[in-house]
Amino acid sequence: MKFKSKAKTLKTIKLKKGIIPDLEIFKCSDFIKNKNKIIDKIENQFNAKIAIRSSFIDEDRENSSNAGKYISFLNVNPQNKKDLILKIHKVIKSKKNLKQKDIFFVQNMVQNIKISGVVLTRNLLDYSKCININYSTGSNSTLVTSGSKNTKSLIYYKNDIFKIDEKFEQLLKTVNEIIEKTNQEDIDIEFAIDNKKKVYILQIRNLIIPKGKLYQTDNRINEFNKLSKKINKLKKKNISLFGETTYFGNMPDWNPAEIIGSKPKPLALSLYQELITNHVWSENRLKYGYNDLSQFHLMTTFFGTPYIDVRIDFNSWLPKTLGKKISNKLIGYYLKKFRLNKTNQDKVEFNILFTCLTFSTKKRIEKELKKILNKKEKIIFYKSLEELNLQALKQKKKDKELINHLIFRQFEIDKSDMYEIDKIYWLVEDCKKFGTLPFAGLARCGFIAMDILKSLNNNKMINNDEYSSFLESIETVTSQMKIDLNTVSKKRFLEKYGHLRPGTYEITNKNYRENFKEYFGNIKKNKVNHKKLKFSLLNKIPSTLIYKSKKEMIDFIKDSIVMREYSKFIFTKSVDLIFKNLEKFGKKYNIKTKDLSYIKIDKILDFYFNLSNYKTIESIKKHIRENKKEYNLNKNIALPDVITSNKDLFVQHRKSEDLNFISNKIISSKIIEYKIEKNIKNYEGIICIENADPGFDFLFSKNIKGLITKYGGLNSHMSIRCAELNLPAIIGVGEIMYNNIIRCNNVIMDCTSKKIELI
Amino acid sequence: MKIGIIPKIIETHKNQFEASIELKLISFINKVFINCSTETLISKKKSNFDILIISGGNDLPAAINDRKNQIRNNLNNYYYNYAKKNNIPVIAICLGALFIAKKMRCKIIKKKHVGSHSIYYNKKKILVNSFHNYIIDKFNSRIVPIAFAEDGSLECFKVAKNKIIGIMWHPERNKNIKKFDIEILKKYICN
Repeated sequence: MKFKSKAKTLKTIKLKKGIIPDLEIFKCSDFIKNKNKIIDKIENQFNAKIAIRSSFIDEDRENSSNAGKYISFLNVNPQNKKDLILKIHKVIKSKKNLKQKDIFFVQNMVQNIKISGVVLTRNLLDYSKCININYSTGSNSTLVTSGSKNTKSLIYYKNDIFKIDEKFEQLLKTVNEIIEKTNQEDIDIEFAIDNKKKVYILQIRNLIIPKGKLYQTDNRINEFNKLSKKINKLKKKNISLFGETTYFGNMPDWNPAEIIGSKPKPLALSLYQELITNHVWSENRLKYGYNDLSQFHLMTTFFGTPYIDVRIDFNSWLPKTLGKKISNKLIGYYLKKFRLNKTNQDKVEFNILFTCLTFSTKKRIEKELKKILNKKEKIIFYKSLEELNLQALKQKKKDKELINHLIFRQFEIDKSDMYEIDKIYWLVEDCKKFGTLPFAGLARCGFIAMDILKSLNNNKMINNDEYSSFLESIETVTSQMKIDLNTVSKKRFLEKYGHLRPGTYEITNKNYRENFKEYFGNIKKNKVNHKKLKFSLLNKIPSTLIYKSKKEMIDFIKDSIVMREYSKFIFTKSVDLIFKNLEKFGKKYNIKTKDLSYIKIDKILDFYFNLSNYKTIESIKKHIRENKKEYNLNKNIALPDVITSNKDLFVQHRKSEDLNFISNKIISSKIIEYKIEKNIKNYEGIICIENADPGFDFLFSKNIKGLITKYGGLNSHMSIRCAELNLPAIIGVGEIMYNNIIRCNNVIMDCTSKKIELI
Repeated sequence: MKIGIIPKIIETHKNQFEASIELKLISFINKVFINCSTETLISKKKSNFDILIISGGNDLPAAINDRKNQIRNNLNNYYYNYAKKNNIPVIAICLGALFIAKKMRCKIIKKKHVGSHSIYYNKKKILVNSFHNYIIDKFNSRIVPIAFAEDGSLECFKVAKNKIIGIMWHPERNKNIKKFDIEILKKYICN
């Protein structure tokens, strides 16, 4: 059946599984001519509360949907004549050029609603076929459609093993019936379920799918079955690891979703693996007194989406000195806690694990590990955490030296007359040894510093203002950048910061040097007082933990935060130089930068050592072709952020996340969605961005009012940067919330009471 | 031990040239090389020094091609070849370093380094003084880099096959001798 206007569709369709509330259709023109006749009819026909909705000609056509553009009214009392006339008038007036055929309809309101929302028959991330339910519990049936915060979503892929949640079984049957009766597969249904589990269908529309978005094999069964097998294998007991099973998340630890995104190109992905998650990460952990995980890669990828293997990650956070028994108990506890609250995935080090000593540690151990460890074990564990702080203090100095050496090596390679491939090889090797390895260490110190600070705050030794002031008083390389932008020449500025790029690992994103105009074009130099506030915590600290003095502790905290930013700033220069040489190489052999992003870095490194009989360039071009093909297949497969078992693939639950608010301010401003390819002229608003790494720091020079990111955690670069600038921000709002936000025009962010209101 | 020094050439009157060595340099040499004597190398003749110092001052003729720079360049060339042939270590400061870099076919470009700036040397970031209008922008495998300035220009290097070092800053102009200056000389010249 072809969809007519939504009112007529509802009127014509007859359902067995679901109920369509009684409705009556009226012509707008009739109402204008003789409203009393219509009002009388409504009064006679409807006793309980009603909804008045528009159903205009252009609202639900097959190829374009103007859904939600016009006003509708809910819970109208049909016996209140005056109110009824007023509201019908408003509905009609919401359309400017009223056509002869335009109609509105009156519908019985469903009573005792328990769940309400919208079902789509496609996953909007990749347009694969599924049952996609966005819902909220409670009696307000407009929450989902208005994009409110407390909505949940469930994406269900039809399969033989896993059933949809019981509460949606009847809804699923009804949707299938609608698909069958209308003979339309892509539909958008508004529904309500009452306390007797009856399903009501309030609206049925066409779901409009953008051209070119249809994926050939648009059900996911084959892919998910394959992935299921892989996940089952990975979840098995591993003799080298503690913990009976494992889970996967795209944000724990080295936050791949934030740094390289959920579908990174082959070059970005392979570089991140080579420089960090293959071996460097574990080498660093061992050096800092944690467990030896050198045989494990931290990250696995499923169809090109990077995931952190949570069991491997948690094992790597055990103090090296801890015995088997305690280790086993801890990992069991950590894994359980992760499974029970998946939204913790971007703050595992704060909310799940014990990775260092802070002012909260004793309390946390007593409270959280009460039933896990016995008294003696708790003491042993506490001591082992003390060791970790000491080790970090010791290692920091060495790591600082290595970073200085990296600068030397970068120049040594860049300024020499080596061949491009050789340069890339050495840039990668140096970046690992003198860049990402010490960075991992300094980032660890930075984490310990932040954790200690937060524990001071949590235990009310310092208040929120003092916490912010302290962070604001620290001079980091990025706060310096903001000053330099106003004070030094463009040439000098680019000499220092030119290598930064938004999306550090993506070669197709231009760096500051190549795109200065776009990133900093409209900035007027202004003389601002750049003097940092001085703020001392000395009197606030109750004890020295393992540090020799309070001063030593504060120096450690400050220097760690500074060095963490600085070392990141330096090692990303190596990545930029790798790209520079790769582009030079590409230019020689006529390979476009866009195509270079499909090369895996291993392929280039391989050329340095191995001479093959194949022609180098042809073999690279073939490699690019193959990777591009695979990437295009992978790119269409959307996977959940956290996978605890293969059921999570077929039945994907999503909740609005616990939000990470930064700063102590309240602001209200317009929403500006930032995309690399989008040319934004005015940045004065709250910038929304999916994932932001240090290359996006240029945003801070644009007078932005606030920042919202889809991915990120309390320990992310952006969290720290915003805290340092006392810029209102919500880092890592998650997918549902993010999509809701970017659909709005304005938001009010109240970072003190941790609330966000969409307008 | 005897140290030969190529001096700075200055034009006192038209077509009248004199050699000049800063007292600071002599004092520096005396402090670093105990019990040494110095010889100012003002004309092309054989000498029996143990270390050659190509001091700062003057410009490369490629930058300013006047008579005094030509005289200086001739002296540099003569004694550089002499030292190389006889395996005599060379310490080349500022202009001297540029001279060696040019010999080694490094890329030299115009850029001012005046006053103190940082260098990266042996895993450390150190402040040095510089007074030069040209920098070494690129080098090749004949050169072993020892220190870089923050802008990536080569500040100190060794010639790979010889005991020849170039230093773009002026170790002799510091009030007190810096530890790292001694360290570099010890490591690359006295070893």
